[in-house]
Amino acid sequence: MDEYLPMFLAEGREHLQELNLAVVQIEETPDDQATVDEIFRIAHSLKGMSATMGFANMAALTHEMEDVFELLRQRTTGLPRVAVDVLFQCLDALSAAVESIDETGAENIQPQALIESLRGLVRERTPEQEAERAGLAIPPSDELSALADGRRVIQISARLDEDVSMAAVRAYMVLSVIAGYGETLRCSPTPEDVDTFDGREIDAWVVSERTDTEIQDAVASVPEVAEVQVFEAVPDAALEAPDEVEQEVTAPVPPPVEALATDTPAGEAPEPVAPASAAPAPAPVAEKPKEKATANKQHGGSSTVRVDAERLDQLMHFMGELVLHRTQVEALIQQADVPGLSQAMQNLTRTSHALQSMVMQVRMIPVEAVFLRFPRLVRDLSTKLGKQVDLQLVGKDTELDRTVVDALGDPLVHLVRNSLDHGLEGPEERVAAGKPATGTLEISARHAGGNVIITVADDGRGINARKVAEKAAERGLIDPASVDSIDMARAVELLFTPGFSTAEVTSDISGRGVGMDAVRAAIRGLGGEVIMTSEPGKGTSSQIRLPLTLAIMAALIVEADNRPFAIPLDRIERTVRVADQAVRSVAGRRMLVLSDGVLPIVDASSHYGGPTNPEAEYAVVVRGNGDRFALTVSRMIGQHELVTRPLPPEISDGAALSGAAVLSDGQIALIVDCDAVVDVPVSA
Amino acid sequence: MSDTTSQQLVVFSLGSEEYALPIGSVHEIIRFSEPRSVASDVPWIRGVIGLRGKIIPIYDLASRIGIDAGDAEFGKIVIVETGTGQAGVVVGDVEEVLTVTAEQLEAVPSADIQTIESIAKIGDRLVILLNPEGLFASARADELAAA
Repeated sequence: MDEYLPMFLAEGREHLQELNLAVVQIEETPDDQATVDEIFRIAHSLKGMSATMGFANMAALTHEMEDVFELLRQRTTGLPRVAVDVLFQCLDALSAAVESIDETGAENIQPQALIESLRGLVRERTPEQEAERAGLAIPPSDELSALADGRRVIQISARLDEDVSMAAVRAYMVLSVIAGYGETLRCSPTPEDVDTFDGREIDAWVVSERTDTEIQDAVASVPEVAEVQVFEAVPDAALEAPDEVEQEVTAPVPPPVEALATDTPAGEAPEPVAPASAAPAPAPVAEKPKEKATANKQHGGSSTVRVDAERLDQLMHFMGELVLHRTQVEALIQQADVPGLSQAMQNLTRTSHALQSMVMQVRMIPVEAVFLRFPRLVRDLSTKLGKQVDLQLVGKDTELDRTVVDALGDPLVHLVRNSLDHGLEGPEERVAAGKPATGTLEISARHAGGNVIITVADDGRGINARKVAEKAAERGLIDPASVDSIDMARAVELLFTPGFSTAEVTSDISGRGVGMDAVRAAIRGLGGEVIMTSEPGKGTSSQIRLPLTLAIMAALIVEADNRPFAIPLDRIERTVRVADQAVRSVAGRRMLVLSDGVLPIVDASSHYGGPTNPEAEYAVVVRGNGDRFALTVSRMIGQHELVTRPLPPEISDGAALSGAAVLSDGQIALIVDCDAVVDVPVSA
Repeated sequence: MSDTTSQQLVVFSLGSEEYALPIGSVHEIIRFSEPRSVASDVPWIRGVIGLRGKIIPIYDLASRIGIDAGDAEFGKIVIVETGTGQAGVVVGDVEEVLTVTAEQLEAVPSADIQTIESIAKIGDRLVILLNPEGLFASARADELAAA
């Protein structure tokens, strides 16, 4: 079983996140049938998975939850809040169990109390449900008749040997054989369940004109089948009850297609399957397009595969190596004189480019993977804080490199918590300020050039610059005398200062000792930047700008102190010769005077630990964190595509470097962290 | 290392002294090439090198353990597993792989406990056995304290 554990954990987490999301959704729009179906589908597979892996308590809890979900089917008015709360408690308990399995291998969950609460919610039960719960596998004959639509239906009941070694495989084989004889209306185990099937009895209801003995022999030929019975469940309407056809067509029973979209409540009952399909799990009709990216949860989704993230990283790594070696070969070819070599090299380059973009694409996943956690988070926090919040998620399909998406979670959670805790006001305060009582929190993602921009915006009270300044003065971060002259830009900057937290009381929501500085550090670690803007009374907006992919980047290679440096191309505004421009000294600092502004000069050589080089010939105008500056270098080498590598932790924190890359000649170019350069105090 | 009483050491020279690392922690040995220097608050980081695509920090062992290696020749870089990744240590030359028994190991008299595990006495040779965890972990801790 151990080999399946990683997959169980990954899928379990995914399912739980989806369930969280779906329950939040259903709380808002109780009559959304598609979501109800989705809930059943997910809960069902979660239960199956847990049971297969031997996590009985998880399975038991999920099973009880399905009963509560069943209430959703019965009433379109939704669930009372108390019920939703209990469901969330259950989901939390299940999540905790999954984490515990990850850490210790044991599920470590006490579901009894929760199961009792769940049972308390489900007091009334219809007789049909009782029958289903009692494990009666026989569908009501009128329902079968409706599915059969007048055709002859036979029931095939097979029993496997008591000591059968692979019940699931045999059941699958039996169902496959049966499917060859006609449309399978219902079967037990269901196609979804067949993988985890460990029973002995297999039942199927099939539309077929074949003789019963023929089917019986065929099924009996499957190894380890002990006994097969075939009998007529619904007679051919055309032969025996021609008058009833009309009546049955109009019977108030859901047609097969609709029934397909749903899942049976507790899973024991048989359910209709797609025509002539005994192959595992046809994708439910309710499947939403967004799910294509989160890989196949259904066994039948043959168009997608689930790949270990580690392998993707390796693929990327080797791709990077390939690019590196290619550039080395390209450099060597300049010196060789072999006919056809340059043409061959061009072909190689073209293919390698295509491969590279394909590998990139494979690594891209929708940012939704991060967004999914927010509906639940916002619901819980707003309830706790007594605020009304309308959460808008925009641009969920925007794709990002997997590593970026993974690392984006915590910074975003922090921003969202900040918005809810500090930004958005309570209903009274909002109404008093002439705003609607319900605040809006928008999390959006969009592409802009080679970047992805993710914005967390609220329409709350905005940043109170003065209050921020007072707090900063209190903490000794700024001179108390400068409090009066604070402006918004400076206040925002203060928020990002390490050791700053505006929470009056350290709440369990946003004040955990990590502040906006942690957010900035995390985003910079990803090679991005975060900018916060705010308008008092109108709201606050935090913008995270990230490169589309971290691994390969276009950069300008320059030389300072005889060592190569790389400057990300998308940060470079232009390059100039220092000799062609005026250089002035302003308050002891050298400034480059350009037609469109005066920029501070940063000498790359001395900035990166070398000797001061006032003779540097070139200046690269770089967009830093808000401000532009001119980085002077001694030599321009050229534009290259670099495979970026992280620097070891021993090095990266002091220097304004975001990584390193190996050049085609084997030298290492250090990548200039444009955001950090101006922050680092330049020693005279 | 199934036998707990003896272990194998990779022995290398540094100036006139001999040092060793347990063979299990040595990933590989490469020829010395001058690392790309980087500004670092840690004085014993000599720079970084690219090793099969990874960027690896290179430690100046002499200044790490506080000896003056003078202008000793550097011939090799020993790539060591640090637990969190890999790091290189600049050494003179790698001499041999020695098997030592527990009896040959002696506790260190008043030396840097963190970086030096023990001293192996082999005939009239003294081989200083380094502690890879202490060597790199404390570098980080020192750096954090300095930050």
